[in-house]
Amino acid sequence: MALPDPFKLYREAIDKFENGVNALAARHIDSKELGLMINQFSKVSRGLQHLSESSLERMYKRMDLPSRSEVAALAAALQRVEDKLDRLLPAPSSETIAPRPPRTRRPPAEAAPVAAATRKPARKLPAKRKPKEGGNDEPST
Amino acid sequence: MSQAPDNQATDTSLADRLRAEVGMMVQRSLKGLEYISTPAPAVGMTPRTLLYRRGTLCLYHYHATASEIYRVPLLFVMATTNKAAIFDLAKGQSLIEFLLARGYDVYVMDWNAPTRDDAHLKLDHYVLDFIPDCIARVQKDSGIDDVTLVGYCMSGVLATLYAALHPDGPLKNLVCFTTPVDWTKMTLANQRHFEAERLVDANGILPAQAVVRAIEMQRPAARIAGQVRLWDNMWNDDYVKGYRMMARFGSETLPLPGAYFRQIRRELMQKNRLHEGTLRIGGKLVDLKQIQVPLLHIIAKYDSLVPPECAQPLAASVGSQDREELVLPGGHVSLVAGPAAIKRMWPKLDQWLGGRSI
Repeated sequence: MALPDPFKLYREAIDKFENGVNALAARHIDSKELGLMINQFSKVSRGLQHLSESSLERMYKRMDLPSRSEVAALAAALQRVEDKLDRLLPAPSSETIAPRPPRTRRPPAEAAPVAAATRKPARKLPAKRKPKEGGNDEPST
Repeated sequence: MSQAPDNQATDTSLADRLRAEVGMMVQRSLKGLEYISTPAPAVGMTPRTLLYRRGTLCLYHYHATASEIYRVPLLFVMATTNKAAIFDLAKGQSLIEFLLARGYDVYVMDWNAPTRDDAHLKLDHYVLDFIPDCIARVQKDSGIDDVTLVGYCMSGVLATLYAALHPDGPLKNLVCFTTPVDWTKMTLANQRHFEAERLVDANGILPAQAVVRAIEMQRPAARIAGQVRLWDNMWNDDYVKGYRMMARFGSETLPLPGAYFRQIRRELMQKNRLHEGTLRIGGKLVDLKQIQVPLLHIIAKYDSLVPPECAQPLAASVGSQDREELVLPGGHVSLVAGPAAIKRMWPKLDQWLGGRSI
């Protein structure tokens, strides 16, 4: 009789544990008891969080340091300035740094029937770039 | 007597297994030290240009790598709970890198963490402002009127709502990955006794930790089992790299604007309005039959977050003649990233898009 492989058994046990616990959670996720329990847990964790935040805030004040919310507010203000700058400055275009190959690619042969069936006349916006000679509209650097 | 050779083989095999396990144990200790002392691998490294940024929204254009590209650009909308790094994990494991190599012009709408100023954002802002704004910018940048919209999970819902409310274009194709439509089939939405709206903080934001907890509630043993498996596979560099990339992606879960979360909770989770056909965005009724463009919906067979029965009504509800639903083996994340996605989903996506991107 072949001896059981303990390592294989251990790995199977992990799988069983995971599947069992997850299945149990899925069966009871809509239960009232679980909902109430999570409510209770979130109430307690919110209370603790509030307590720790307010005591940390007092500590920061005493140490003359900015709190996390003040740093976040500062970051948000900076972001607003950057957004305004973005709106004022000319929009960056990847055209200047990234290659712009021609849009002439066709699908491999096996997808061609689909292409033919669904193709509609090409709609193009008014041309804004001058294509290079030979059909390549990659911008010159 | 005939048992002897078998026993001998078993003993040898067991001895080999023990030897291999001891070798792996040594490797685990060495690699474990390396794991602790090195940072997680960088994700989202494919070259790109930031085209536009506004509050929580960023629009990127990825640099083409093929010598010629398809006419129609792709605009990925990332799910609002995560960074778009899931589409661009690492070299050889990046959906974006794959699509660029296959000749697609790729744009991505990514999200920053919302601040107090974004707390008022609702589905309406995403569907009637952010997406149309980015589509207009993609049209301007590419010089092409048609755009293919690609959405994953909740961003699939946003892309679907956009498509339904803009039947006159300029959408060319709609691609959704594991997109929830019948929310009564979603386990998470069925917990009606939990007062989730209380989790929205004083700034009007649902903290990222609450999002992570809600997702983990579905599979509470996944994290601990994952860590045990990580230790077991610590000798395997590829496994550890994959684990760390996914862990990093998971750790970048984003908070949600409170108004957006409340709207999803009430309108989609509790009243199932998208499936019932009673959802209104910007005062307009969302009718999925209005979607006429070609649709591809890829569903994960073993998705615990968005089970197939929750996602399947999408293809059945749209008005498109050209529609396809694919159910592929995999989970919510492994459908789009990881070895299984590279083998199964990406080639299917390329095959479907190629003929429809000219």
